[in-house]
Amino acid sequence: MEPDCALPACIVMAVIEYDSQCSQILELIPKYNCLQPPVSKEFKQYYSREFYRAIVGSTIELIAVLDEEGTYTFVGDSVVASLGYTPEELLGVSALSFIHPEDLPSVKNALEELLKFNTASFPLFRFKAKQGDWRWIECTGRNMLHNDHVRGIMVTSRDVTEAIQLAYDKDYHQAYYKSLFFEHPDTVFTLDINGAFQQVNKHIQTLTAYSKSDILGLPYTALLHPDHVKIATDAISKVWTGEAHTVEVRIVTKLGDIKNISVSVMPVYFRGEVQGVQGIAKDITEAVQAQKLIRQQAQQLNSILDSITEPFYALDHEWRFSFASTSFASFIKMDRSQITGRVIWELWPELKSSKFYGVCQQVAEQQTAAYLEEAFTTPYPGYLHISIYPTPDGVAVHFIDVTEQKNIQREIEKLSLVASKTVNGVIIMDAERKIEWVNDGFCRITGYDREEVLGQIPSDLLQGPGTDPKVAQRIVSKYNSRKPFSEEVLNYRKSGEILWFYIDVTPIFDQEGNLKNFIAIQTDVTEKKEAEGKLLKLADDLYKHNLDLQQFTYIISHNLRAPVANALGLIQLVNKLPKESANFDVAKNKLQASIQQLDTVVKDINKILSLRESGRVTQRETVCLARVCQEVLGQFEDEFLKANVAVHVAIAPDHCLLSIKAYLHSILYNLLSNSLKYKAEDRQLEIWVQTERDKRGYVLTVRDSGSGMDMQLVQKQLFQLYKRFHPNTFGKGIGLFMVKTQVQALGGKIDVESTLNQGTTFKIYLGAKHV
Amino acid sequence: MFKSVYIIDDDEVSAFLTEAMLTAEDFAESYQTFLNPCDALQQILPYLLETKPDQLPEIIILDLNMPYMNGWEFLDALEPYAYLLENYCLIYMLTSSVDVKDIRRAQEYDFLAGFLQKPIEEDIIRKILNET
Repeated sequence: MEPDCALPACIVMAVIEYDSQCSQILELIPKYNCLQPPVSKEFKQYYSREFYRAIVGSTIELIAVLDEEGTYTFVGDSVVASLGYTPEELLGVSALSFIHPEDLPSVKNALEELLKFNTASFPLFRFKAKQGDWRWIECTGRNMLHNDHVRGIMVTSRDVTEAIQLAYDKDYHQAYYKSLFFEHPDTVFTLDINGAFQQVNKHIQTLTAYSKSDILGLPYTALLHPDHVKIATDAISKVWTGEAHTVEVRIVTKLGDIKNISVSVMPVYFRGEVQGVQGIAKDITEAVQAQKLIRQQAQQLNSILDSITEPFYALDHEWRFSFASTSFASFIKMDRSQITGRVIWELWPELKSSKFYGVCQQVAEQQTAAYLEEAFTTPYPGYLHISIYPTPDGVAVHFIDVTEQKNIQREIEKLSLVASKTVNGVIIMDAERKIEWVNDGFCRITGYDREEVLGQIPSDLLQGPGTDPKVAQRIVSKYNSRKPFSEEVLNYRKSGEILWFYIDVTPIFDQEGNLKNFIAIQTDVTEKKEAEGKLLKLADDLYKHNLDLQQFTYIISHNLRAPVANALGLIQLVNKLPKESANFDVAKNKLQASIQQLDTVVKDINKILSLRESGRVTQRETVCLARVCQEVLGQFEDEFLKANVAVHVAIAPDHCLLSIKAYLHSILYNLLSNSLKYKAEDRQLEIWVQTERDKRGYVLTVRDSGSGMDMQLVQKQLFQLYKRFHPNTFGKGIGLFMVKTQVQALGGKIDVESTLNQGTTFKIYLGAKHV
Repeated sequence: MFKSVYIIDDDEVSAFLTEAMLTAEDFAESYQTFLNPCDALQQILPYLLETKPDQLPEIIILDLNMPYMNGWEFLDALEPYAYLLENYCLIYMLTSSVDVKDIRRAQEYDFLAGFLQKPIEEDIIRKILNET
């Protein structure tokens, strides 16, 4: 151990003073030569034994003498102050017994060394004080066994416990602060008064990419992002005024990366002055980034929430509005600021009696989402579909206003009730006219089950051989026109029975105008149709009767009235003329002729009426046309022969029908009679009689090569009674009228074609019902 | 007394009666009877076409209900010359018809002087004579 310059001067002085007497002591002096006083012979004088004793006893040094075994032979009085023992307590006791066992070997070694080399310094050791505590002792020894005055080993000891403690503490604190600096997980640095880096810990490289050697001596501003130099210099200036604080700045690393750091800067005081700045820097780039991200996300979330068109709001645990979307605000017609922070149940107390209130409580308690639909009157009337979700802060509520859907739904329910219960048949088809649904009415009317008609096309299913192809075609084209329409159509039940439907079809389009469905409503009009048929027949009869009546009116006003008028006139004339006059007799004869004509007309009318009546009631019999023709021709045999008429007959023997033979006979007779009557004078008369089948029965044709008629002139009146077109030929004008009446009585139809001077063709269509 | 009268009627009895009644009342100097209206038309048309209205009969007594060509058709054939007939020839319809439709239809012909019911009566004949 180096000699301590701080040794108390007084001891040195004392040693110097008794030098002449204690030369051995003086030998110590060179060790303290740093304070070697000038030695003067004049100071050499004798001091008493007590003097030495006092000197030795009052020094803080413990001076003792040991024998060869280490037993105390002398103990200075200072031992009391330092170790608590009295000198008497130690005398005769081995000094080694007070030494700490751990230190004992080294002490023993030193003692042996002392015996060999005369001087030795002991390592520091612990010595048990009177109080029982261990005291650190610094000790030097000198072998003075050969000194007659001493005859022992002189040891000079000093209690250095305090110093040891102090040194330990200093080391400890230093280590502590060192570790705080160097081992700190963040970057720690010090700046000198010029702002240059003085010391940094190892983390500087991680933070800045500068190595320790790079950075020492660099001004801190060298690391700063240009935008942040001001903030940083302001912060450092503040530290110089003694204020520690934390600042966030942006730096640029050696690699050019930009980092955000949080720096706590504090002044370093030394001897009462701020001598530098110490700083702890933390990389908060990620934190800043994260914060930024969180802010962005929050912003984004807000915009998302606001962009949701469904009204949305959040309530905290106290049922206060913590968030309300724009759509909600517009739904309640209030500003968001008016409701934020308000308790929903206070804002609208009526809600407390709603189902919604209960569900909200339940969601908050059970922390599970719930949904409900409820009609509200507050704040606005409407039917809402509400979803309530638990959130960490309370509940989130969003809802859809389903008032309209609800109304539509109710209407649909009613309509579907009507559709399914109505007596009419209802069919819903897809755009391809395939059946998607039919109601009970359809099944009841048609006899089909619902399942067996699904996917079928109603027209294909229901129409049959009796359906008018024109109507069927019209229905198809009306479907294709995609416009609503209605039709009456003959359909068939599953059983094959005839069914008349009045159908009313409506196409259904979606919002884009695409055809989605057809809806057909069928009304069973079979009975009506049958009644209509009867009515039609009745109307036809009535029409015919009416025509008859008109005809009779005409007959009466002309044919019957004419002879009456003549008779009246003639009577007038007869009364007026003298009996002798020539005209008197003429008038009398003509009067008789007129009366006879009157009689004929009355008989004709009677004949026609009875013919009409008998046509209705006479029993039909099977009549073969060839046979009838044969009979009629037989009647004309002589006349035809006389007039040189060529007759060509082409009637198949199997052309037979249920009819009235007398009528057919009369018809043929009249036609042949006319042909003969109106033959062309300049050529031979040829007559063709033939029959052929048509779809309803037979067509009887009588063609001649006679004088013919100008059809333009005659066609309207040809078949009327008493109409005659050949003034030079005898005739009453009743023949063709009779023919037509008889054909009609048989349910047939007569057509005529004629060309003047070429001939005439009569075609008689004998209806199918007589086949 | 008229100079010339045409009687157009297919009914021989009626034509005889009309002529006898007119003669009894000294209606005209001469009477011509047509059982076929076409014959009458054939006689009249040349006068009209050649615009010799003075050749026309002063009076035509026309029956309505006749075969081949009835009274209406006869009137229709003359209608284009109505302006010529007006001052020279009076046409009277004489019919046994009591049908109102016929009476109504007769009113459509402006140049028809009258619609008379068969049998023709003395009063009517005298009235025509006096009026003209």
